[in-house]
Amino acid sequence: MSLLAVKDLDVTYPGGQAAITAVRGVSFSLNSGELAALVGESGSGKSTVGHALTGTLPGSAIVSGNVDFDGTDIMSMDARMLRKSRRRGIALMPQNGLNALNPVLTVEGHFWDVLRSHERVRRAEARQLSAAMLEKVGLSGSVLRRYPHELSGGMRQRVCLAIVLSLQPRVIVFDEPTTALDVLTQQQVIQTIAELQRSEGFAGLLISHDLGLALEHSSRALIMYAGRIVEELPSHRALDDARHPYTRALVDCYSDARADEVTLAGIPGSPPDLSLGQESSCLFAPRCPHAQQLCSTERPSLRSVGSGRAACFLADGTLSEAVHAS
Amino acid sequence: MNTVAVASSPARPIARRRRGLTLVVATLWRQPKARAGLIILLALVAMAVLAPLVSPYSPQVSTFPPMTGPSAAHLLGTTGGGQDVLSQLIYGARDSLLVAFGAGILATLLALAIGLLAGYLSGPADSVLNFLMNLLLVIPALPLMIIISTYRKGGGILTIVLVIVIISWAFGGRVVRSRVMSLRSLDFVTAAQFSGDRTGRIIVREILPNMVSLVAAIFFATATGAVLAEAGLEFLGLGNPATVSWGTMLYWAQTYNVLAQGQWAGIFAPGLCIALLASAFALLNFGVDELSNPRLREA
Amino acid sequence: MPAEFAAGDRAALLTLESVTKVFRGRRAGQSAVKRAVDDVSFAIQPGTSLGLIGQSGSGKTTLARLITGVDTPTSGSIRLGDTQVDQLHRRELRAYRHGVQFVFQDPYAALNPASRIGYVISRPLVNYAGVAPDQAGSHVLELLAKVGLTPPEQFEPKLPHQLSGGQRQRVVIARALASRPRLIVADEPVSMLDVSLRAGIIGLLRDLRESDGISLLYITHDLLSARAVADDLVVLQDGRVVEQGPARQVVQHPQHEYTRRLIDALPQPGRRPADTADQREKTTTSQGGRLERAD
Repeated sequence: MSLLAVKDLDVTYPGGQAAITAVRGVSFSLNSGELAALVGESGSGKSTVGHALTGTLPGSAIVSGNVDFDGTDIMSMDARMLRKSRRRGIALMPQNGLNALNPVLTVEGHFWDVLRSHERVRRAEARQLSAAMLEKVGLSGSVLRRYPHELSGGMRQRVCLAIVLSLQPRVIVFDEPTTALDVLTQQQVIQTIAELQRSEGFAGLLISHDLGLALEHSSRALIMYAGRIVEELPSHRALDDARHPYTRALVDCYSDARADEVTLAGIPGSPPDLSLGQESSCLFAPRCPHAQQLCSTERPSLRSVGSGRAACFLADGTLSEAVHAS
Repeated sequence: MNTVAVASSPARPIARRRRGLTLVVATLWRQPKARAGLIILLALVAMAVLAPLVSPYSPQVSTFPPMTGPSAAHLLGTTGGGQDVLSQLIYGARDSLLVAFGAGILATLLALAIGLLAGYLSGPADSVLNFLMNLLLVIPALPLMIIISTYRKGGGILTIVLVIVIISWAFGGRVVRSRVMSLRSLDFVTAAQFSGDRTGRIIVREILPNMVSLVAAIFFATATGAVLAEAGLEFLGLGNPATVSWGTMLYWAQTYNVLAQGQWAGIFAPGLCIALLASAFALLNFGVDELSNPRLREA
Repeated sequence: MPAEFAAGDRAALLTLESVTKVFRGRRAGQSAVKRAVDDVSFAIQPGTSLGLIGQSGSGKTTLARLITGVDTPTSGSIRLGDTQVDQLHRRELRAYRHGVQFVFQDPYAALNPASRIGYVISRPLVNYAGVAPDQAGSHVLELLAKVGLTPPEQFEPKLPHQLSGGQRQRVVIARALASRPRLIVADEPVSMLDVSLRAGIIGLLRDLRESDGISLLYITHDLLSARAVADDLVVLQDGRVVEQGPARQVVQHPQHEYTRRLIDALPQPGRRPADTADQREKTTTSQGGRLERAD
């Protein structure tokens, strides 16, 4: 029985000119104690999924589908019930520490703010709890007195992580936790997340555009493109077993810097315009080196393939690789 | 050759690119509150412009029976001095609109000029100008207005406009200054410097276009304040009581104690008009954000 | 220091000798001295590209500002061709910028949201190449085509918000090319773009070097993209050069501990945490169990 089960999630933003369906038919599940990665580029809808799960979408967003958290459908809960459920429920670790933290509050002030809105604590108790949380993420208690601008990027992310942990959530959605951080700091933050996940036992959904980083620390990867999940597979098999051309192309973007000749690979073209409701073709086809006639007339659905699932006519055997696009 | 796909645009007919005033009016019209403000303002402007055609009598004629209530001959009654209230109301619009636009535009231009200089040049020039603005903000407005007006008693509209401009430009100036300072640190301003553009061009082409909504907001706010300030000054008798304006109507109505006499229209009518004009500007301010967003302007 | 970087090498395009920049500030009532750049020396040969590798706080942004004349060093010399950059007056800066252009990190901040693409690219043409504003049209189209924005006529009248991040960055590069500079300084030009779009921009920068002989100073924290575009590397830590040399050599045979850490931190899809557990240990413990920012 999975902790979190998402079924046919659709999110549409009613824009001024045209509505944008950012997420279409997304279904997946998350089990207790696992760290799964949701990977996609800008405009893939991955952040929207994260916000839908934690109830932090803007009010105008239209959501449909089921999100089953430990037996309860949270899509049917109202705001008050949702807020209650964040304690020992699903928490969101926001993307940018600088934007997410209030510049006029100390770190301790942040903890106090969050703790007392979810349970009754006294100030001294809260301070102890906060210090304990900071320790878990590798920061000393003296950070409590600091203001966000006095901390480095990596430290701010850790503070956000500690604040989220203080709610003892069972599921944490990490929204791009390493963007805008240096390579060394990125590794430190991701490691901290992975270690904490093992020791605290929460289920984690790591949302990132960095496939390499996500694959290194997650057990399972979900690849999103243009609002849909196009592949799901165990992370350590991604290099050898990726079936969807998009996943393959993403993997190929990471070359070995130690090689004698280093060339970067990219994916030509750009992601599709989501305001044009296209249902009848594979949205990756225009950029796919293996696209064939069928790909522009029918949309492939997620099928069981190899060690996971993929939405591709080539991957699921409907098409063979006989004809290569020019 | 390193190529990328063409920018994808949705399949819609390409809108005619509107320019200038048509664009401004069309953008404002789309916002419901701004639309309301625009309608009210245009109605009042029409009233002022068409005064000779619309007004039943000349506002100066004071031979009517004084202090009468609304009747067929005088729709809003007459004043304590024997003039037709409705005629005074219609002609009074000219005065108020003149002050509102005059003081509004002048104060905004002054705020823009000083704020731009202070914000872009920084250093000693900024210190001096900033101090000046802060000084003007700290001095209490009403007493200052009263003192200046008393000194130039009977000076009429020009004095009032002058007084209001002196009082109100500093607020806008400070806001402009801080906006310019934050814009100046943006990459595209540095990029313009790298492109070889000189300071003057950078201020006009890079900084100003990104301040349109701010300038519009300052204008509308100042105009709103100007309407109320003028009414207030004239009500206190610091304007020229012989002129016909909504504020002096209030002054005379109070002098003649019209409320006690039951001639409520004498106070209610000009008061309502003042409130309408001020509200019109305040409502227009709601449409200001749309003006500056290129995304909304295009379609 | 390898012989080819010896100071005083007249053939080099850009030479930095013992450049230091000290910032004096006040923190909680006490004056603090920060050496953002400390005794940095390196050179860029004409028609080559140099990757300046550094994390935040390494001094790379300060160096970019010193080289482009936005700031002046506390001590040391910066020379581009015959120009002594550190001694330029404000007035001379404008002329200097003719030869040195800048590509910004954030494609969303580098273009004025209210200006059309055609205007933006025309400015350096008008200011430096002496082209009349109404004649700039064909040159602008040429530049747009050169950076891969085709058909150029479609892009010329657009506003920045109508372009994607990758397209905007190409516009920024086109603008940098317009004045026909000898050196382009690019500060993290691809770090804000999707991974799949980076190759296009990096490839563009590489092609320009070959076709136009423009030298490139590529500033980044990402060793992979640096390896793909740079001939030589300079690694910066806390304002000091800790390693430099030909790019391949530095990455395949790093001499300095810090360089090794940077290389190990590169994400690789096939690698699992267990494989490099030892390196991980080193990363956390060498900075101490408690990570605090030094004042």
